[in-house]
Amino acid sequence: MSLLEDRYRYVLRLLPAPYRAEREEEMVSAFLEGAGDPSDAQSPRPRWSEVASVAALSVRVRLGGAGAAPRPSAWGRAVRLVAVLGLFYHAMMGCVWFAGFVETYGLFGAPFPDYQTRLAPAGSPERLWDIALGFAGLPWLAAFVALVRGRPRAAKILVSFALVAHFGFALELVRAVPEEALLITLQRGVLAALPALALAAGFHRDAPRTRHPLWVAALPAGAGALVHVILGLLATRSPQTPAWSWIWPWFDETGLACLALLLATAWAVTRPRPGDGPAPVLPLALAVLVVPVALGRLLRLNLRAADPMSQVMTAVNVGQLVALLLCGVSLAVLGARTLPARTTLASRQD
Amino acid sequence: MTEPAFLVLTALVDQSRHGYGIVQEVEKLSGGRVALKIGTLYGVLDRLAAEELVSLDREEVWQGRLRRYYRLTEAGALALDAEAARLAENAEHARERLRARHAGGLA
Repeated sequence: MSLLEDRYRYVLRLLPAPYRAEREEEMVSAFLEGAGDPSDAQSPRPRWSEVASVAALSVRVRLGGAGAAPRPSAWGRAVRLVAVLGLFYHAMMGCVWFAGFVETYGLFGAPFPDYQTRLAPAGSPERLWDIALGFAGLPWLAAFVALVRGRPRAAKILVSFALVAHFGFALELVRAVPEEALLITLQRGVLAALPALALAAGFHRDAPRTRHPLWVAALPAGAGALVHVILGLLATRSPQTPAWSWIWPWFDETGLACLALLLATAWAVTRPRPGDGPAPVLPLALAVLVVPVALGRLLRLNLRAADPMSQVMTAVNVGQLVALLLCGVSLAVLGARTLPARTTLASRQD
Repeated sequence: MTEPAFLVLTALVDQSRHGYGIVQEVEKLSGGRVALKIGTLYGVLDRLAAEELVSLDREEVWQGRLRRYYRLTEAGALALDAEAARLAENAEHARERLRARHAGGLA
């Protein structure tokens, strides 16, 4: 075996084993015919473009689109659902943030009473930065709309803008609380990275295009408005009341995601299952989403809480982590049990 | 239908071909513009096979290596015909408008 063949076979290990068992020999043959006959002394390597094409094929095979085998098809649908739900969450939070920004500036109704003291002077770079941050969450909404309206390529471009804005906002948080810089960066990074990766991997060339109605595209705005109203009502209660410490851990950035995941898990586990069993897609997607949310809650865990209110919040946080862990395990087991069996390429073509 | 899929189907119209044979024919058909990578080729072949537009014709061993030959199915020929008609119609519309533009410029 020549050095080039050996190296190309190594690259082909990116592909799933059943696919490789069917295709490896003819792919090696096709590749070597195109490569000519370089001697080992030249230390030939497959070009990066060839490696990239095999990597892309590997993603498409593992996260199958229309016409794929049932198992990769289920994984593909689950990963695409992770992208949709993740983008929905960020779009909703972007709307919540934007509603707060609009309210602060008094664009609908009177501005906040301490409006002038909270903001930098008009026209100053600080004021412009503050205005830019007000819009920082909206690229997520644009990406979600593009995705559910059947334009995944546009959604991917918009998510790259959203990520830049997302970390711009993290910079602002770091500036405000420098001692929590690493914590904030990690927490925001974990939450944003997964949907972005799921979007890039799941909505590949062979993935089916689905165009949802306009009302689906408007859901994050509606949910964001509802959360904004609830947060407004909570803000009217004194933070010193005992109830506050039980409620607040559910309404920060990962707390809301945790609440939504627990409710979705209860629904996924208990819903009636038509036909011959449940589709594994929702449990698998929710199990994947549990990971960044649980990491987010873990990063917020304050084990050095001294005052009673902080101790209650820590206890709630621990309870959330335990609940997320149980949900993750239940969903993974449910998903794995209902995942279709592996099939070979040959058995599909028969 | 994507351009690589269209070119792969076109490459199989006259005869069945193996992987590298398809790569060469696609490059020839596109005037050297489309150089299919092996990973891309097999992704296209998988999709076309799933849609039953191509099928496995035969296997041969050449210089100790496996060659699988693929052929165009009847459904593949119909799909290619429909796509070619659609592209030709688009091209004709473009030509008509360009002729009108040139005629307007000369007048």
